[in-house]
Amino acid sequence: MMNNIKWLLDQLKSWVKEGIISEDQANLISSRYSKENAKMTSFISALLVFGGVLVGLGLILAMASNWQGFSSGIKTLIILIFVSGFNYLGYHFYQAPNRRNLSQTFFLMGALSFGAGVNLILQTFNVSFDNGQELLIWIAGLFLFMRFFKLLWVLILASILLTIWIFQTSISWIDIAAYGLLAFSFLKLIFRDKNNPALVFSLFGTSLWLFLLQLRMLAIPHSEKDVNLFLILPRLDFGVADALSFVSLYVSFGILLSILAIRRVKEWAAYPFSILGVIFLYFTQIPFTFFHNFANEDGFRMPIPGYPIEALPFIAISAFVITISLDGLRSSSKRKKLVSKLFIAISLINILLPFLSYSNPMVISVFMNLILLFELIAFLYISSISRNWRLFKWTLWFFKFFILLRFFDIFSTLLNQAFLFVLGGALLIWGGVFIEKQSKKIFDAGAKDD
Amino acid sequence: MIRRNFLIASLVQVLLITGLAFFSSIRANSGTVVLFNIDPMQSGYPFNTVFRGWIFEPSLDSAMTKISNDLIKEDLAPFEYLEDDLAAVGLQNIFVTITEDDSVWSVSSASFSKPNEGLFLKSEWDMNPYSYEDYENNSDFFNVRYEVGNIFLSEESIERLTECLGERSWDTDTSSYFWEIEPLPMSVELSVLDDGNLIPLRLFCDGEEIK
Repeated sequence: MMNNIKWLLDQLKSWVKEGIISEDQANLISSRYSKENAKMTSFISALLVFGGVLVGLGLILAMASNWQGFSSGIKTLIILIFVSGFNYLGYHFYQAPNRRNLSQTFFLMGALSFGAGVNLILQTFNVSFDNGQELLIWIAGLFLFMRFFKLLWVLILASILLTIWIFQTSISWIDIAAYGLLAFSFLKLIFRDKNNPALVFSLFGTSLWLFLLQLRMLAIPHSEKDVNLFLILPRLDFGVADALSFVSLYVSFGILLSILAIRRVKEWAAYPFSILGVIFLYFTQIPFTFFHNFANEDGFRMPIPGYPIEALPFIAISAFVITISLDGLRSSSKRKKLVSKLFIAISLINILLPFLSYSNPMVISVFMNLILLFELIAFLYISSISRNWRLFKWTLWFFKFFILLRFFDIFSTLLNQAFLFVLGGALLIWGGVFIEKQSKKIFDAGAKDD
Repeated sequence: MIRRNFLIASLVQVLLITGLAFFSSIRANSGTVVLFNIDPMQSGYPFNTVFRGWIFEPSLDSAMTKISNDLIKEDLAPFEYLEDDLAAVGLQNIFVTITEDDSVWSVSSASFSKPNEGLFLKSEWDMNPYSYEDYENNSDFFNVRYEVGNIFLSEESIERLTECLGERSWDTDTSSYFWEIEPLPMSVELSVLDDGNLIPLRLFCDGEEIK
């Protein structure tokens, strides 16, 4: 197939020269087969990466099986041969433009064998780390390769490792600072390489990091020393205000990502920014729209409000969002002004969210429903006039989801459950078809108005 | 330029692996090597992990973990209490000094602060609720727990280890294990570092080396 395409592309040049076809026609034909070519290349690339991952995993398992027969020196030597060998092959093919996929595969195998090697050394000498330091050593070994070469798969692997590491930390200030620095360095590489999957993992890791940062701040009044946070956690009187503070944190992060998507700060990254933005924004708020259900539980009491210092991370993010939105207020476009006003309003509401803990569960529930509804409508409007189809589509899905949830919540006590599910399903199908039709109209109407 | 970058990046990886191997080896060899008996009742069963294979975490026997109150230098007041009467989590480090007598090591004293001399092991007050009850009901002794670390075993060794650990079942009436096949006597060779931390070196079962 590849040979046939190559033959055809060669022939096209000679046909143009001979005047059999025009240059435009030749371009039209070649563009059609270039797509075929691209599909074939990505298929081959997928095969190569899959093979590389299998070889790498095989090496990890082989090293994990702990060969008793070899001395520690021989084991170290074998590891070094594997790691250096794969990296050399990666480097060798990196210089040949048509062998870049093969190069990426070898570099990935080198990265996996390096990680297997680190673990084998620790295993050989019975070294146990409590806080995932072996992952940091693994990442440190990959960093310069990612810095000097454009390595798609190694950067994805390293981003996954960094995200796993944040799960294993003791949540000390040092760990939090270390993750912050590493995540910043990674984001620089991700933006340089335009690596979308690595960006998704990195944003998940960052969201978790923000959570731990806020948790650490929450623990300040309880920890005199910088000790393991998991030892302090049982002492925390975790209240509704604290939980709402975490909601505010994720909402502010979601708003920030959505703004980055709308402003097309990085055009190639608009998709992950839109999806993750919407997910962080809505999934964290939805549980509180059911908060009234807790009010009737035995022994329920509204816990004490949280500590002001824990609010710092989300106030900082919201302040940043408000600052960049203020620019839009000076714009001559009425629409831009309105978008900025909406973002400022959402951010201000979000900052005030933890104060709901001074009320009762029913008030929290009602307000959270109203806030979520306002945000959904505002985002539908903002995404339609800013021509961000992905954000619009995802917000619309959440809107449908929200309506369905409310349906179940309100009518679950009134109707027979089987009947409820039939009705819910029918409503969903009808609503899905109806809103899908309407959404295109709304979106296109927004475009015409522009 | 690209060649130089490749060489630098490769050199860093080589240095990380060799450095890790070198320092792990130096650290393990810097301590005093002591052989301790293992309590199979307290030791967990070996488990498998993706990156490092089979792991076994031994626990030292009661000769080392059950400390008589007479041996502690300070007053015994290590617990804080929460509102619900649970012991607080601020674990107290206890440094257990050991002495050798006819090739047998035994506990000679214990202290909440690091001793200035002698061979000592760093431990924590055992917050296991059963041992806490022991402490409450019997104030003659208290229990400590050592961070012995993990022993990583090969596929071949694991079968022998499970034989050594015997076969046990959970008795719901007494909420404890009972052995259907008795475990064999086991011991672990540890490198006791100057700061009291421990590094496992070798594992023995019935006098034979497993790792």
